[in-house]
Amino acid sequence: MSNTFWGMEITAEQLLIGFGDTLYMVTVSLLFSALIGLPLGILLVITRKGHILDNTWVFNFLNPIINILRSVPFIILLVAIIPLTRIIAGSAIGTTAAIVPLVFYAAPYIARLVENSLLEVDKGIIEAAQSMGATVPQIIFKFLIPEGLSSLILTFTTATIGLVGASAMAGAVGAGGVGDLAITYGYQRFDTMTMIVTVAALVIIVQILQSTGNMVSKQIRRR
Amino acid sequence: MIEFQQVTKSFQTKKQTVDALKGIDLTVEKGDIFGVVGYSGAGKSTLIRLVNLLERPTTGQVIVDGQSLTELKPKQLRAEKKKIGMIFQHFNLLNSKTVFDNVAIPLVLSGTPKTIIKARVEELLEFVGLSDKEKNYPEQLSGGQKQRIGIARALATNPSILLCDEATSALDPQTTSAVLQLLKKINQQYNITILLITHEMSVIREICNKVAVMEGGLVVEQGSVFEVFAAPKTEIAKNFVRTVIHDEIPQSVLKNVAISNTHPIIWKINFVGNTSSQPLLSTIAKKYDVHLSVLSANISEIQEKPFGNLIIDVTGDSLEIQKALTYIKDEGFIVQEVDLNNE
Repeated sequence: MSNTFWGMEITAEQLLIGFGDTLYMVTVSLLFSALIGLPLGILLVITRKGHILDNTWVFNFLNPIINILRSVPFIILLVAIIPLTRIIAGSAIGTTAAIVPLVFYAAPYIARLVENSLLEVDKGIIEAAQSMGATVPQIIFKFLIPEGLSSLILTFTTATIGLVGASAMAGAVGAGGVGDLAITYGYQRFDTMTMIVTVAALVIIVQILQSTGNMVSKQIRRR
Repeated sequence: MIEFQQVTKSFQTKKQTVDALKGIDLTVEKGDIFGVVGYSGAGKSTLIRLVNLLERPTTGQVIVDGQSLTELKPKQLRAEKKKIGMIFQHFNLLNSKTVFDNVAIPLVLSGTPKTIIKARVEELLEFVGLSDKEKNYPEQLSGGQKQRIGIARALATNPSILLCDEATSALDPQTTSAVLQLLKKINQQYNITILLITHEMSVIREICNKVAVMEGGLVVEQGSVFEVFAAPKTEIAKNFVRTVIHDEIPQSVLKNVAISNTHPIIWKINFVGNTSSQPLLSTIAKKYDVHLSVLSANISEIQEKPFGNLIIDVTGDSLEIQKALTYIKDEGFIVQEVDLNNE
């Protein structure tokens, strides 16, 4: 037990690696989830009845899939899709492997949140865009997204925080990260100090994310 | 020019079909300021949305400047829409963009070079009198200022037609008046045809030259504003005219008349145009042996022409009264005998 501090069983190095792993998992899975979730969320809005790409088939296809994925608890999703994870990531355990279920968890979540954010955009704005003869991509990128941006920022803040929480559970497949430390050392080995430090660390991460998100969103809305 | 030919529009809801428009024939000539007035649910909102195909007609044709829009391919339609500007009751400005960017957006959409956009936007802001606000955001503006920005935006692509969807309904009377004057200026200066819908007859009186009255998805009455104001035919048109021209006999006056005479003779005389400057009453009183008392009178202006009405109680010999009546009619006044039992 060298290099330990504050009476913890883990070393500072372990804690740092934990932070690094969490950061890696959250960032990479956020990136992929956003790439999938954002277009899906936009599709859910514009294929709605009476919207710019009114399409009952697409909407009725996407909507239940997203609901089903959203209703599976992450810890179950994590183990349920192990075969798929193995195909995509080459392995079912480890930090990189955890990214697959994290994306499956966060992408539909983001799609739903994006949908809500964009539905807040006044329909009158869309009507104005249509009256100007804007194309569908123009309506999305020059009207819908700029007008919903402040709300979208909060959406992605919420999604990121959700991912921090989920990444802690990914410890169950040996994913590493701060949450993993808390479970293996803090809980399973009754190391109270590690538990306190890791939980405090998670709280700080979430606080920083939320305040940053709020600040940026407010900055945009202020205008 | 906008032509509606046998246009119907139905909306399908889960339970039923709603017929919003039940066969509209209407022509808006080039240079008109054409007002459509009606209560909510009359179908006027649907009507104006057909012109730029925000709604598609169920049957019939909407022809804009000789072009039937429903037959166009999407790309042609988008090009055609740039010739039709639209302003809205709630302005529909982008809150995330500055005044400058809001006015610029129709030009940005059509890929106009930046230098041209800058010049055009500055010219438009100058025209609507808000050059000093170009860096502001819509949130920092008053309702009237927002509508001016809406107007500037609608004019950005040099349209030949401007659609106004209840454009002044969210504004106070003074601001309304200022915005209406701006619309009139646009019509005169750029010869832009304006089609506006409203539930306020005062808006029609202030700027329109033609009016259509809608009820239950139909145009029930239409004509020049002067015609409809001077002699509304349908009950609904009469109600609308009454909201701005008060030709009712006050109740207390009616009571007094009824007390003094069980069968009073009451005439409602309309003064139209030049006839309003004639000394009618004193002429009659001198020429014929009748007594006249004025129950109600007012004069206002429609289309820059004076328009007045006078309600008088006539007493005297019945032969003399008859002569007086003939005289008034011969002089070109519109006279109606009022039956008190129906008032």
